[in-house]
Amino acid sequence: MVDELRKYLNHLLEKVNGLHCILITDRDGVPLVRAVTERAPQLALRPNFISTFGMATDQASKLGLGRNKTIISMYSSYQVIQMNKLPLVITFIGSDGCNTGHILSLESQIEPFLKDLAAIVAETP
Amino acid sequence: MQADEEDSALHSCFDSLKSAVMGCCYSICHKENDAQENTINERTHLLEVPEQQQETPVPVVSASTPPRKQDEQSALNRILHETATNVIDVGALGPYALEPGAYSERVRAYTARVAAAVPPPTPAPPRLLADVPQAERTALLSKAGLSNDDKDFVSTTHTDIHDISASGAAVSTEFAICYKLLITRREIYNR
Repeated sequence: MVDELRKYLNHLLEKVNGLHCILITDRDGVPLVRAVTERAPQLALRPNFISTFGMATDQASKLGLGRNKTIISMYSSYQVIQMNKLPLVITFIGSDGCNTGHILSLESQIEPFLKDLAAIVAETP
Repeated sequence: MQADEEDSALHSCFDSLKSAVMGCCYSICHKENDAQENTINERTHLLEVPEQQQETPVPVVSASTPPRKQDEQSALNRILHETATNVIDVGALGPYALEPGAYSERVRAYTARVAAAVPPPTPAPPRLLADVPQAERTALLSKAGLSNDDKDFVSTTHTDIHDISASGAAVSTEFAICYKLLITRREIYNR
């Protein structure tokens, strides 16, 4: 499954201009599948960067606006979009000028794979 | 005269009070097996209330006090837990990192399990212009093509419109097209 999924993610990467990587990890930032180009910032791929989303989404869900689903962080040269699919986290990293709406629209195309991946995370001790 | 009026006012006040008290007593003393139970009068409930709800809940008196204390303690614990869950404590969110050993072990476990999993069918890419099914397409393509008359009509109309739009500076292209179409449609109907 991993090869097919990686190929599919690479195909999605090519479709969006300026998208550098797509990572599917658990909430601690441990990767299950990743499609990364050489332009992706290595610091943002580290588990301790990705795992901050798990805590941030928990806290953001307490603000009285319902469950937090996505956090978009804009930096000077990059944008990081993280989606709450707990126990999974999907992380997209793109250039600052990348079309954010286009990245968000990829969610529905990755969704069919998430059920199996979530089961794998749940089964792993 | 004034005293008489006050008297009558007092009487009417007492009368209304008496009827209210009597009504109250009636409702208290009212028995379920009353003969007039099923008759509809001014005291009949508009909404039917189930028998269980009419009875006021009687607090359960327990013989010993420890269970109540335990209940209180568990309720307090529950409230404390809920409050702790709902508090947004950003300061407590320290840096969190998985130990390298645990990290690599989990990566290995995930890799093995993901490789063994059966991939779901890849979702079809979204298409803006979806084609008709193969059978329908074949049926449509096997039909007879345009007749020669239709082809002539298209080519002559095209050249006519081109001529009009090229020559008539005062006539807009849209107007010329509409005009020509109207004329040709009328010709078709008159045929």
